[in-house]
Order: sequence, then structure tokens, then C-alpha cells
Amino acid sequence: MDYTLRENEIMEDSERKQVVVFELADEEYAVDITQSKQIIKVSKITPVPNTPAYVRGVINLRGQIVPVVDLRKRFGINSGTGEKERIITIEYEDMLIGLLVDDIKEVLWYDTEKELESAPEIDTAVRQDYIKGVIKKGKRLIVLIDLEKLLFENRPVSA
Amino acid sequence: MDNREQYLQMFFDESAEYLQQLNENVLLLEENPDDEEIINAVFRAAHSVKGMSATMGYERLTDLTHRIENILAKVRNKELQINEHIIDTLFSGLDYIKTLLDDIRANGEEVTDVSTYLRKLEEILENGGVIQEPVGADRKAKAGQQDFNAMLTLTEEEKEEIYNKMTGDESVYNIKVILAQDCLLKNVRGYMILKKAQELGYLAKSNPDQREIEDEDFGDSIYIKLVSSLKEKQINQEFADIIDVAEVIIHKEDKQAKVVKEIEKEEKKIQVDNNKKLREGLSNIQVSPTVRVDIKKLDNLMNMVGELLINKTRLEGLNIQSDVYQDIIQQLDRVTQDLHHIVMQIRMVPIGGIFNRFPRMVRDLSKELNKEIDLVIEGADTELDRSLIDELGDPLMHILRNSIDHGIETPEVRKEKGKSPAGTILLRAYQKGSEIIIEVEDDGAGIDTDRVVEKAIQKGVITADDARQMEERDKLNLIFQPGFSTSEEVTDISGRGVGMDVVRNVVEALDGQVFVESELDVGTRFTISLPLTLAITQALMVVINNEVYAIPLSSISETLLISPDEIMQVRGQDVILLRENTIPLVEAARQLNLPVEYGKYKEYEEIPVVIIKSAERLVGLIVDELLNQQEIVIKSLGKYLINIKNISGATIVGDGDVALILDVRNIA
Amino acid sequence: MSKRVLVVDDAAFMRMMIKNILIDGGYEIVGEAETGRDAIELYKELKPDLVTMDITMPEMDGIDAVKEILEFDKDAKIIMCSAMGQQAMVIDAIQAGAKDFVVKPFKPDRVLAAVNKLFNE
Repeated sequence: MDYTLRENEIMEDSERKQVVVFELADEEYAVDITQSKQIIKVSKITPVPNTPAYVRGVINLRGQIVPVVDLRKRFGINSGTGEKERIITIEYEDMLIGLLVDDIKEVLWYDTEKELESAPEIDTAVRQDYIKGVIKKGKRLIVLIDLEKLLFENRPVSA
Repeated sequence: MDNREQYLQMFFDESAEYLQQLNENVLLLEENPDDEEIINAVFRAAHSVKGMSATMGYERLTDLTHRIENILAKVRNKELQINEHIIDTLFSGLDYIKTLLDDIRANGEEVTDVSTYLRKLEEILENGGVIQEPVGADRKAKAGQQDFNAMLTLTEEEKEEIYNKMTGDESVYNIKVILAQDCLLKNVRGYMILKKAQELGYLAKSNPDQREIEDEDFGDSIYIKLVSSLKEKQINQEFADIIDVAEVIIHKEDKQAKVVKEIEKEEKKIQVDNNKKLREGLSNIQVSPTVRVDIKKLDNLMNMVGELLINKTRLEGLNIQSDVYQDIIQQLDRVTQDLHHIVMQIRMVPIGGIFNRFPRMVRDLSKELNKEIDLVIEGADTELDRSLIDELGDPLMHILRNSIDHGIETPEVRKEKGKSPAGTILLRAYQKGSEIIIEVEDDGAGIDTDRVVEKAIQKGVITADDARQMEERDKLNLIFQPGFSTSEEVTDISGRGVGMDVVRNVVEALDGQVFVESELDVGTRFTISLPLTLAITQALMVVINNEVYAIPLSSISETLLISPDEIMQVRGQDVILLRENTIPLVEAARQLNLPVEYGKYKEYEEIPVVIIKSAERLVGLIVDELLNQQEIVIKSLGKYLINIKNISGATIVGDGDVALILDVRNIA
Repeated sequence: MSKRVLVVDDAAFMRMMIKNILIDGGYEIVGEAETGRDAIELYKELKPDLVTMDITMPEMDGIDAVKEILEFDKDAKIIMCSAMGQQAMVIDAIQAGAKDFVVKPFKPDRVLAAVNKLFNE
């Protein structure tokens, strides 16, 4: 059966990973594609009172209520909102959460051994703790975000 | 039926259910040895059987399940790694449980000797289960054959049908197609497998059947009885080639298809004889005309009703000027309401189902502790949603144990205090508005808040500084804090350090609340309040700062439009006079900390006010606009946003937008 | 010669993802369509070896497009691209004659496994 054969191929390819690259205030960031479920256009977001400012609100995604986290506010970046705003939904332990970003750039492969560096002292708006590493593609530096830490280290609680 | 008999019946029924769960979950555990949810599920089920067995006084069952529980506890704490040997041992343990249950059913007592098996469990506990027995391919194959017999039993009609489809050179194949664990859209994949089977021959039967597959109501395996003239190898290959198929087990039935019918005719005759015997034996057993339904199916039904309601509301929003339209809307309204009502009714069961477990427990426990306790039960016929019932058993059990353990004093102490030697625990359920209230009240020693504080400090729940600033009520509530567990010993009675915090979590997860009131030497009362029904409620829609919010009608007493002149001031607080009651006014926007200028309503000509019932008093909630009243489907905000102040959930309104549901219980 | 693929999805992002995967897997992308309607036109024009078909799209959804394409060419190889929760529609599509399906978010190995299989038979 060729099923096992395919498994082997994947093993060999395991140092290559795919990420979704997006933009926040002209910097490039990425999240692992296996964590992301879909990209949606921003429609009506209903604000939820008594939550931290970075919780932009909730949306209706096919009958499910999904909270939306404004990554700019989460990182304390001040940037204008534009038409290209998108929500990336990610799934984590049964939770579906939307991340609001400035723009989606592309889906990209990178080599986990050759192109990923542990977070150096680079100048970025994001706290070091929230960074898993930096993907280097030629001159481009793409910050790979540690979603678990970012979202769940300080869970939003009522003010 | 006397009490003992009633308990026994429930004990059998529930044990059978748990045993079933155990079997399923141990099977899952074999495939996912590190899955904590499954480990916990096995642990819980074993724990429940243990509790029941101990209550009924069945020592062997108690022993057996206690040790199984210990093994799972070790697995959970990563002291023990699941391996084939452990799984096998667990399975034979489940068989022993079944045998013991059968013993009790037949003889009224445990007969089978389980001491050898208990030693085996001890060995695992001591050696960490290192004895690795060879993985038997045989075992698998054998299991497969047994599976087939059980999974693909044919009805007479189906046998007939097969016979009619035969032309002569076909064989009958029993096939088990196992899907990969990471298979996505299992129902679609399953549908493709059935479609493939139909291409390869005549699909005589499948388990799950097509509908179950489409509803994704099955595990990882699909059993198929296929009549085909193709070779075994070829069929195997065809199924194996489908993506996400992890394994195909195929057995060709020995007999050629065309003789099947004759042989099975004989079998049928024997079966009929057996059935007759069985029926005669069972003739005095009454069969009540009920159907057992998987609660998940009821949940699905409920969701469908919810969808229907949303669409009905959308349709109403069209507001077309036509008699026919109005007529249809009215009809639809009636039908959906009836449907909703029926679904809710189906889900309702009397709380007596859990209350009835307690008398025996209280009796045994009080005896053990040399206390005299009368348990008084009121309102056992109060009905509530089945899914709530399932969750409530454990929290109530814990509260009761607390009252027995720490509440009621010994007869000597009671006499000294001038109380009657026998203590009373009152377990009461009743409906209040759209809530179900369950109270556990004892006339015992009460909770000594000083000791609670002392213990909380000692356990690091609070600091001494914190304590000095706490009010009496908050001190009492410390018992609900995580880490403030009362007993750390592992005993048959008090379980494993499951404290009142778990009680609170369970109740709050059900959208309910739990309170405690206590007076020294007078007694303690725990009150659990729960929503009567889940999921759907009537609500008033209002606008606050350009957003639509829903306020459940259950918490509204009335709505008013007032003019600014009617507002008066009492100690700096805006109030209105309503039928000689002074009602404080609060601004919704301020309660919600919305970023707007407060107090602007005083400039309005008419101020919309919703009079809400908040913590036993009336409060006037000022909103920007009153909209309509409608049924809403309550949805959770999910696990990411929890405990949001004054917001209890969300609902989807006709245009697909989200409206938040106001939780007014703590307003002002 | 590499097999020629028509990619149908209303979201450019999704098209890009599946294109990257297929190109990496040695396939040639001969066309892209954003609606079911365009997909049918392009199919007739390009006669690709394979179509990857999204389900929800404006101007005719993926299922109707599958039906029409199969009416035009009963041997057309079509793989549905589905999100979780679209089970019922995928079943409809398979019933209509789509060969297989893949689930968003796309995992390269899964997409290629499904596609490769169609050409190995």
C-alpha cells in the first residue's frame, strides 16, 4: 500500500514548514499554517465590554461566536486600519480565535534549520517572549509568533 | 418496589452504562495512551462505579474499581506508561466487573473470586506494568472475526435480499475498514467507502449505516458485508487505496453465497426456538414503552430548532404587507414554539433520579462517623434538563459529604449544645421563575469563618493582610477557592481531594451559581441556582451605545419610558418613584465601562428604562433604545473569553450580527 | 509531461496556497477561476487534467459547477476543497461525481496524496 510510502516522504521533508505571513505596521509576521484555519474579510465585529482593549470583539462565524484579538493592540503598535484588514482564525485546544491583522501577504515555506533563527536582538515592536524565532528570507525578516504565549499567557479577564 | 430494590435497579442500570463507557474508553486509550481526557474519563467512570459499589456494600467491586482507579491515577500523574499489558489487564478487569454484576443479579451477592486478579493489578501498581507481553497479531485477527459476527448481523429481509441478488459465483466478504486517526471529514470519507463498496458488488449491510455515516455518528471503523465476484485481494486493494484508510481487514465467508440462505434457514429455526425460551423466561418483566436516545441527538435536535428560530425571526423581519405572509408567519410561529416546547420536554427529567442515590449514602456515612442524621428530601419531582442532571450528581454528593463530615455534630456534642441528638439535612429542589434552585441545608455546627481564614492563609490561598480586609461573607466564600480542599486523604468516603472549588466550577459551567450561608451552631445552607432550560430563552432587545444587547426576560420586571423630570436624587443617587417604590437608576453604558460620556440621558425627552431584578431588588437600567422582544438562542462566548463582567453570552440576531446577552444579576 | 490543473476558489489566498502546493508537487497550473461560472468556461477552453474546486463561491457554487463540468466531460477529474463543517455539501459533490476532497487549511502532503492518487489509477 502506498500509504506508508507517503509517510516516509513527509519524514524526509520535515525540516520544511509552512507559515502564513501577514503585516502589522509595515513589519512582517507569521504564524504556523497548521494552527491557522482560514482567512476571512472583516465584517461586523461586535465589541465586548469589560475586556482588555486588544479584544476587539466577537464575530459570527457560521453560527459560532469567535473572539477577535487585535494583534496591533496586543503588541501595543499604533497603526492605521486599512481596507486590507483581515482576520486569521486559529484553532487552539478546541478554541477558535480570530487574529486581526493589517494585511495577509502570502503563504511561505521555510527551512527550520537554515532559515529560522532564535529571536535575536532585532528591533521589533513585539515583546521577545512572544517570538518563537525569526525567519530569514534574503533581506526579509519575518517574525514568527508564539501564539500559545501570546494568547494564553495572560488570558483576558474582566477588568 | 421497596427501597433496596429501587437502589439495586438503579445500581445495575448505571453500572451497565459506566461499564459500557469504560469499555469504549479503554479501547480509545489503547490508541491514544497519552490523551488526558480519555484517562480522566476512565478514571471518573471507575470512580463512579466504586462509589456506587461501596454504597451498596459490594466489597469486591469496590476493591477492584479502587485499584483500577489507582492505576489510572498513576497514569495521569505520569508515573505509569500505558502499554499493552496494562490495557489487557484493564479489559479483563472490566470483564470481572461484569461477572460480579451478573453474580449479584443472579445470586444477590458477589460469588466470583477476584483475589488473583487483584494481585495482578497490585503488580502493575508496584512494577509500573513493565511486563511486556508479545503483541498478538492473532488476537487482532480473532477479535476481527468476533467483531464481524456482532457488527454485521443480518435481518431476515436482508438475507432474503442477498439471496435475490445472487447469480452464483459471488462470495460474501466481511470487511472492516479502519480510518486513519487524523482523518478529516470522516463522514465524507465514510460515504466514499460505501460508494466504493457499491461499485465493487452488492453492499448487503454496513455498520454504521449510511445515515449514521453521514451524521458522523461512528468511530474509526466501518464494517461492511459485501457480496462480490471480485477476488479478496482486489477488494482489499480497492479500499486500501482510498485516502485516510489506515487498515483493511477482510474475511471471506467460508460458504459460497448461494448456499448461505439454506444454512441460515436452519440457524433461524434454532434461533426462533431460543427466542421462545427467552421470551418465556422474561414474560413477567414489564417493558415500559420508552426509547433511549443518545443525548447528543437531542442536542442536535435542539440546535436545529435554534436554527429554525433564527430563520423564523429573519422571515418576520421582512415585514411584507400580505395576508398570506402574515398567516404563514403565524403558523410558523406556532409550530416552532410547539417544537421547541416538545424538545425541551423530552429533555426534562425529574431530579429525583439523582436525589434517590443519597439516602443510602447518608445512612452509611453517618453510621461510619457515629452520627445520627435524618435526610429529608423535598421536590424530587422537580424537572430539569437532562444534561444538567448528569453534571449535578457529583457536586451535590460533595456538598452532602461536607454536611455529614463537617456540618452535623456527634449526638453528644449536639446534646451539649441543647440540640436534638439527630441532625437533619434538608435536600430541596424547586422552581423559581426560570431558575431551578437546589438547597442543601443542615442544622449542624455552621462554618467557623476564623478557621476558614486560618486555613486559607496556611494553604497560601490568601495572605494575612488580605484577611484583615475581608468581609465576613467573603471569608465564607474562601471555601470555593481552588487549593482550599478539605481532605487530602484518599479514602472510600471523601474521594481524592476534590473540593468545593470543583463544585463551583461545575455549577458555573452550567451557567448557574452556588452560594453558601452559615451561622455558627445553627447550620449551613448551600444554594445552587441553575437555568431551567438551556440554549433558548425569551429576551428583550435593547440598544446601548449603538450596539444591540439582549436582556433575558426572566430578569426583567417591566420597561418604562420616563421623562427627565421624574428623576429625583437620594444621597447623590438618581432614583425614580415607581408605585411608591424608590428605584435606583443605573446607566447601562457605565456598567459596561463603555467609552462614552455618562449622564447624557438627562437631555433626552424620553428615557428608556428597563426595570430589572438584580440580587433581590429592583434597579432601573437606562438604555438608549428599547427594541423588540424575541426568542434568542444562547451561545457561549467560548473558552477564551470567560467570566466577562455583566456579559453572560451572545446570540445571533436575524441579520447574522452578534448581540451580547447582558448578565444583570450583578448590576448595581 | 506534468499534469495540467485548473484551480477554482473565490479567495486569492486559497488559490495561492493550493498553487504553491501543486507546483511544488510537479503540477502545472493552467488556469484559475473565481466563480463556478468561470470554472466551467475555463474548463471547456483549457481541458485540464484536474480541477481543484472550492465549494462556496459567488455566481454558482462548486457543486453545481461539478455537475456541469461532468455533463460536458464525464471523465473530468475534480477534487473538492472543503472547509470543516461543509460535510453535507462534499457528500453532494462526491455523489455528483467529484473524485475526492481535501480539507482546508491545506496540508501539502494530503493535497498531493489525493491528487497523485487520481493519476496512479
